[in-house]
Amino acid sequence: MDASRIPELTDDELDAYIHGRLKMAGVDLSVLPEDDSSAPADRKGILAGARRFLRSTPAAILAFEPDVQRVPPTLYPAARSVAVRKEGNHAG
Amino acid sequence: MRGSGRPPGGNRRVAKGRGTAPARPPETSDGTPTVPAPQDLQLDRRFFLQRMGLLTAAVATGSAFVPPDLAAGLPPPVRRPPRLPDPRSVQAVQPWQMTLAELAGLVKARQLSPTELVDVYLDRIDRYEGLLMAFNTVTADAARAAARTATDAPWEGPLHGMPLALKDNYYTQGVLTTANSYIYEKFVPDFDATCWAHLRDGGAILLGKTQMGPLATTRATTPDGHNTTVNPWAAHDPSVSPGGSSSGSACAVAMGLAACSTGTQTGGSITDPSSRQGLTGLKPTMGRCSLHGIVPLTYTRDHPGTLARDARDAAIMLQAMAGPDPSDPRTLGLPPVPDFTTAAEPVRTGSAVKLRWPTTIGVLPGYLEAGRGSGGRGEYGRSSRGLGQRERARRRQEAQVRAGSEVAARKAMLSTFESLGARVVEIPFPDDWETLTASAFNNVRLPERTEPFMDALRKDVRLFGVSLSPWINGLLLPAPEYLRGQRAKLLLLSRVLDGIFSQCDVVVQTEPYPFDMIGLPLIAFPIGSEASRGFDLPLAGMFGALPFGEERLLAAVAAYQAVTDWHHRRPPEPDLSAGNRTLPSPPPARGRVDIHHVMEHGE
Repeated sequence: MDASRIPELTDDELDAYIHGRLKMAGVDLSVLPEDDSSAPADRKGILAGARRFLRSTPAAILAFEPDVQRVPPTLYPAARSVAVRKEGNHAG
Repeated sequence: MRGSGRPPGGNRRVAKGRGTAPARPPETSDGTPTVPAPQDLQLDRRFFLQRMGLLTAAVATGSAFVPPDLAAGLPPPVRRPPRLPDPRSVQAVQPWQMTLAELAGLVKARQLSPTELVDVYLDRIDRYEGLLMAFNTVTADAARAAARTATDAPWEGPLHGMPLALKDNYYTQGVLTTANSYIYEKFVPDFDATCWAHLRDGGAILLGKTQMGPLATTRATTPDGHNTTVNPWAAHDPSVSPGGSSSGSACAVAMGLAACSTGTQTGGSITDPSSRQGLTGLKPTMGRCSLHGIVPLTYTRDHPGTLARDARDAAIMLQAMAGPDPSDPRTLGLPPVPDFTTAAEPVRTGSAVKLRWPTTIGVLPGYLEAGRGSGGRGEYGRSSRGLGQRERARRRQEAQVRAGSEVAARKAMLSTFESLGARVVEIPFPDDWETLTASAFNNVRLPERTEPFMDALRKDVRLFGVSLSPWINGLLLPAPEYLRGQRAKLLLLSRVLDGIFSQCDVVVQTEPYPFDMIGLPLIAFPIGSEASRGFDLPLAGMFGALPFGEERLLAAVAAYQAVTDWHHRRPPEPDLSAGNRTLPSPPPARGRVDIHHVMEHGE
């Protein structure tokens, strides 16, 4: 699927992902107050920020598609010196 | 301003990695030492790109990192003792108003002792700290003891007996190191950060640890987000940001509470407070200075650096801080540390100041247009939420006035550089600039911040106080997106090297991004002031350069500062008289930042 066509996720879908990931990592948000803007952090604000982050960041990153042959992932850095040997010899 | 028609610096590029260093630096007719060529011209930038790839891959895979040797083939650096100002020329001002270099000249000449100097700063801290809140810890007794030792010892160099303030994320043996976080609130390291050890070995004295944004995010606040350090240019108004996150380090130097200070930068944390407080802030190339013994934020983007009164002071600090450290692989296999202090000495031909090396300054689109590139990072703790229409209109008017002043200052700055011999050329943004520098790719740093703190996250998320949000978000970015982001970062680096630095030697910047992302050096320096809010606030210029281009940056700013006086201007001395009701109360009455500010404004 074209990354630019990733469907908009609902709050419930995002919350399910967030809670599942946090549980998998052993991170517990329940110690925070539910909704208290005077607290340093509350669950409502953290979840709202996480949803904004997930709506803005992963899809935007995946929408940028460098040429995997000419701009190899940095897991294989030896190829970098070949890919950029000549000026302009790289592609996005 | 001219179009770019020839390579930056004319046809003077030297053979990369070749050449023989002279046995002694040559001098100009007036005795000013010259440096044969700055290191940015001697390096093959491809090696830097390849090295960055290796470093990123090592982080991504957790594998051992063996960097290629960038130093191979480079001539050995030639260094000479720094030329300090003549003490006779600097005695008209009080010691706390002097630069570190000026103080060093007096100490060397034994016209001022380290003991006297420490007392000067401690007196000022005593007087102003309650208002400014620049420090977390003041090590007064230890500083006095170290000063007595230094006073009796032979002069060791420009840092001999110099009282410094360290950001509170630098480990200091036996001294509380909190990073303004609940996580470290009782942490007393059993060793010194490498950078501090180098400064201390050079004779520097620890005066105290400075306030910072919690874990190096945002402006200085308590761990739960209440503002602490104020901007000394507007000490009466805590809503005027001191810049973050090295807020206290900047405040201490700006107000003459320390001779110089250290900071760290992951997303503007040196250049931002320096800009807001009229200082010269230098973020070196990734790897120039060791991060060993500094509380981590983002492994591939953290940079130690300095917040100084001027370029010469920054050079003295960097000279001591830089160098390889076996405890930090990011520093190994790099070019040798060059002679920064000589690079930062202004060059004169007769009475005229000129640039040390031919330099082309690149100007990116929008730099001279009001309202574009005017900071954009917002005022920490100065939310516009809930404001009435009238207040919003007033703030819009302030922003317009400020933007106009910024453009005028930038034009004047570029004109000054042209009078010093610089070429100023307009250059376009490289391909995909907007995409590759967008916040999505900036956010790729977040998993790196989360990983080292997993234990604390599992233990109790409340330990992160107001800074929790980015640590949670870092947990949520999937690995393919992380790797795609790292690939894009390397592509951005190649675009910057080829698209920008094929046309200029230094490039104007208005934000720390993307240079923080790709590890290239930045320097911020004062170029003017503005009064949109009814009082003077500093305006700053910022240059970026090629990998290991710190000499170039220091030389350019030193020349500029030799013919301007913005760096000499200091904040007004606050009126502390008992009847003065305009002074801010201690926290929490100074306002606060919230979790959204921390996420949006970064570090």
